[in-house]
Amino acid sequence: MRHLSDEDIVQELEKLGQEFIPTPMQREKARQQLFQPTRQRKAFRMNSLLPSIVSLIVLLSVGIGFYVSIGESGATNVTASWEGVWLDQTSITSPTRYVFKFEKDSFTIEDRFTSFVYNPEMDKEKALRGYKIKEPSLVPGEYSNYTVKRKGDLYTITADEFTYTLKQFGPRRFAGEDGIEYSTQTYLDQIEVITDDVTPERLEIAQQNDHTFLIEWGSDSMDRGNHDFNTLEHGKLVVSTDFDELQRGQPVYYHTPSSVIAKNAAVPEMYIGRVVGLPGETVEIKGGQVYIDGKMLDTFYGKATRRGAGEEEYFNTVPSSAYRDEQGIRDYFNMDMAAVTVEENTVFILVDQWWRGYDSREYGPLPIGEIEGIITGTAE
Amino acid sequence: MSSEAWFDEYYDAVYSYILMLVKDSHTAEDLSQETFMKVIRSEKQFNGDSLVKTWIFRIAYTTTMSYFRKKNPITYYFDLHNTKHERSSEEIVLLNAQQKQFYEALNQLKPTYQQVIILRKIQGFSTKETSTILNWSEGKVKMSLSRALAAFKEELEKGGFTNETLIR
Repeated sequence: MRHLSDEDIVQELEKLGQEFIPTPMQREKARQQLFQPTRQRKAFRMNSLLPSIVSLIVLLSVGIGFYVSIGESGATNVTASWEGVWLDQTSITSPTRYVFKFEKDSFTIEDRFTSFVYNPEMDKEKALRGYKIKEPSLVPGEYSNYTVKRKGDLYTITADEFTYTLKQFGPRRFAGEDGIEYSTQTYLDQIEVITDDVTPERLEIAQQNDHTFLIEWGSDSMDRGNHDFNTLEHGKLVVSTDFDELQRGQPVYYHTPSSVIAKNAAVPEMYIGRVVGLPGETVEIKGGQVYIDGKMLDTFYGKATRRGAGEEEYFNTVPSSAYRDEQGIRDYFNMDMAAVTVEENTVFILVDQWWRGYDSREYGPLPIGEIEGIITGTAE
Repeated sequence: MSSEAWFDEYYDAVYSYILMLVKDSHTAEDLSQETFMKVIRSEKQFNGDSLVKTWIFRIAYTTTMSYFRKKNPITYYFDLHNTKHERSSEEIVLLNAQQKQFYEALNQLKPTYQQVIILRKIQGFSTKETSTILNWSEGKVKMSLSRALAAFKEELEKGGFTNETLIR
């Protein structure tokens, strides 16, 4: 046996050394970490930095989320709704009596304070001592190109070189940034409203054709004070399978989701409800009122009712002997539901008498495929 | 010459040197990086007494040694990660059967022998340069190298290596 020569070993060792050189990627990574303009001074140890990186990412995403949510609920331009508004000073803590008048392109501030005018002899110094706000910041005059932006209950009026923030503390009451209080003559229309002029409140007699069939319905889930939809009262319901796009307000006939039947076997397999939320919209119920994408749904099916009556009407017309649990009924009229996003190819369904039926509040948005047909009216 | 140019020139060598010693690519990446951080930081202190490469390798050597010193006393008793560094050669780099035997034989040697073989024969430093890197006398480098090579050969032959079985 011949021993290995040193030469062979050295050659082989050189080859071995070649196997240990880094890949171009490792090299690039190291270069980037070393020669970034803001390079880290400490050795980069993934393991020790991972917690900080993860928490940084979490912090950032929370921050971004917060920022986005602020941005969304943040300043909205409500200038248009302030047109024609009069803002009268109500507080007497300042030697002023301001009146704001908002018009289409400008607004004016008048100071109708008169005490000094009527009594020129009065010692001004002494007179001012009685006022909490001695130097109001507002300068009477006409300001053009103004905007009013709303953020929560804060209204910021901006004109050239002029900003003034009002905080709303009552339906018609505002406090200025300097503490002066005002009131408006009218309520400001702050909430955008969605209406529905098409959907009739009562079912009408509908024509029948090849695409329609008749169903019976005995529940009072759609009752609006007239036993609405009840077959015994009004005749059978006409369901049409011939429909294209579902409209808001459209009553539909659909397969009851299995989750509902699993909970309550007495629920019929086919159910009736009204389309309230369309694909892509967000449906929320606040205080018994439906909001679509944050806009008030001002329709007969947009709020909690009992036999068609809202809270005020109900308690005014129904004798107190007829109900026992007033608080429970009031809670019903002021119910809340967290915002639900209606996915594509689904719709948000509500019955007309919320406490008497199952709908999307129970099972979430309904896949459009589950809808058998639209209810066009009653048969003759 | 700036440190970025030095990086281009010597990163591969430093990395492979450290990887052969620590046997873990992540640790090698970290230590190479630490080495170059020190190089960047003390760029101005480089006095030109030795070659740049020798100076950088001196830093790489001390960095790796202090890593071993830091790691061993405590991790040995408390840290289960220790096993991570005891990888078989397959996990470190892809080696053919013969290279594997060579590398494993090298790992059987005592650390000073490994150092001197890697620096002299793999990284190709001269005796003087190696003595600067290891802070040894030149005589010690020469002596260690001849003993290291002898021991290495023995290790190889223990594994059944002969002149005939060597694939060139």
